Amino acid sequence: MSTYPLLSLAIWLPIFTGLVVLATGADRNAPLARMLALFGAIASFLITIPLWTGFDIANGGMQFVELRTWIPRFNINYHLGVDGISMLFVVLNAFITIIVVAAGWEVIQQKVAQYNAAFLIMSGLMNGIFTSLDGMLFYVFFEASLIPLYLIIGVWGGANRVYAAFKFFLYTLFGSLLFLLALMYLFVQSGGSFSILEWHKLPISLGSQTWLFLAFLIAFAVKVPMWPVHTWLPDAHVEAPTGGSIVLAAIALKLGAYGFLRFSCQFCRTRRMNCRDWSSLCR
Amino acid sequence: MKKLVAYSSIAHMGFVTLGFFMFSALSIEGALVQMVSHGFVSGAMFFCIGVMYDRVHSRQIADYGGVVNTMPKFAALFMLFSMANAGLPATSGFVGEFMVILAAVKFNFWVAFAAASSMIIGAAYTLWMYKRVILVMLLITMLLSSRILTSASSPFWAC
Repeated sequence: MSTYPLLSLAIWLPIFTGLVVLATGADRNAPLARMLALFGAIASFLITIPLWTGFDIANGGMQFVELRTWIPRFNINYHLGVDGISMLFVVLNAFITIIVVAAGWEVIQQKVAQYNAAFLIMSGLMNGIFTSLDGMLFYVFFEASLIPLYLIIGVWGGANRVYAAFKFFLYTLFGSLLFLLALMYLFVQSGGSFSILEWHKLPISLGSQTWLFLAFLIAFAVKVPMWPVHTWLPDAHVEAPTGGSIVLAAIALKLGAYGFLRFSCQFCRTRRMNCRDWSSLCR
Repeated sequence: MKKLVAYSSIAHMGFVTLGFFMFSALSIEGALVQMVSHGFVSGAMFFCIGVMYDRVHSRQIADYGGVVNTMPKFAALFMLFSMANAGLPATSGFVGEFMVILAAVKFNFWVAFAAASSMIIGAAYTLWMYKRVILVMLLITMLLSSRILTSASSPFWAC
């Protein structure tokens, strides 16, 4: 098992290269921006490969765990780790980022550096969502990943892009506010902890389970998207540039489903499944 | 065109949600397979649509037709991803959806029935789109040329 902070690299390398690409600035440096972005995307993909090859499939718990204190006053930690489920999506995300940078190679001729930087930063943020084991860290990444996608739809989109971008942003933000409320409730219930793994062990009464389930359901149903709240997706897809559509369909929709798995299914499992069944699944 | 694929991804993600909340090992594994498969397939579908958009600058299905005449290799590739999107057996789209439906049969027959019919409707509209976008002009030209050949001796075609 390697001792390198692979997950941190998977998050921060794309974000860092995104910032470097952003620094190339105006469109006269577009070829340089493209090359840097492609290099960054490939490098970020390569560092996720050890996650796949070094993954211990006999172990049902979290692997490649990193734990540092972030905001000690509220017991918020920089806590990363992957199980067999989230590892797949980190690799998928890094792979799709290469495709997306290549897809915008010739098509995007305006604000090239900013376009590629937005995708690289978003890739890093979404890796952060898939690897967070701290509720607050998850929430921060979850919200932050809205911003690049909002910009991609709103700046490089089609004729009706502003409407689509606003609709997308408002729908998802509405969902995530309920998610934040549920996080606060769990923080108080667990006696001041934001660790998702500790929350999984928390005994919660059936009544509160129902409320938690509803809060998480609304938050992630918007993102998946499920039937009554799905209307932002066709608008966003129609207006988004090709790369934006690819990321939206391939990764962003998975965030909602991953949230279901990590939160809804786990907290609302009375008489359904116990922890042992879950860890046997996560292989 | 993009809207159609967007609605089909909503349908595919519906399978994922269904799989998760049936709480059986088979259904959750099926939903995970479906998530990864949808990540590749829907990404590829939008990529293909983007490729056509860059050449035609339209996303309306009605503006297309006969892409196979000009881009045969692309048409073959798009066919592969359309089939995966339609959930044809031997593509990754089938595996996840089949596992979820199988688990749904054990859970409740009518849930499985609804899920399976959504899979069939999905196949229907994906193939309809493929026909309209890639094939139709090919058929029209074939029909036209056969008509020209058969009526070549008529005075109308002579002048």
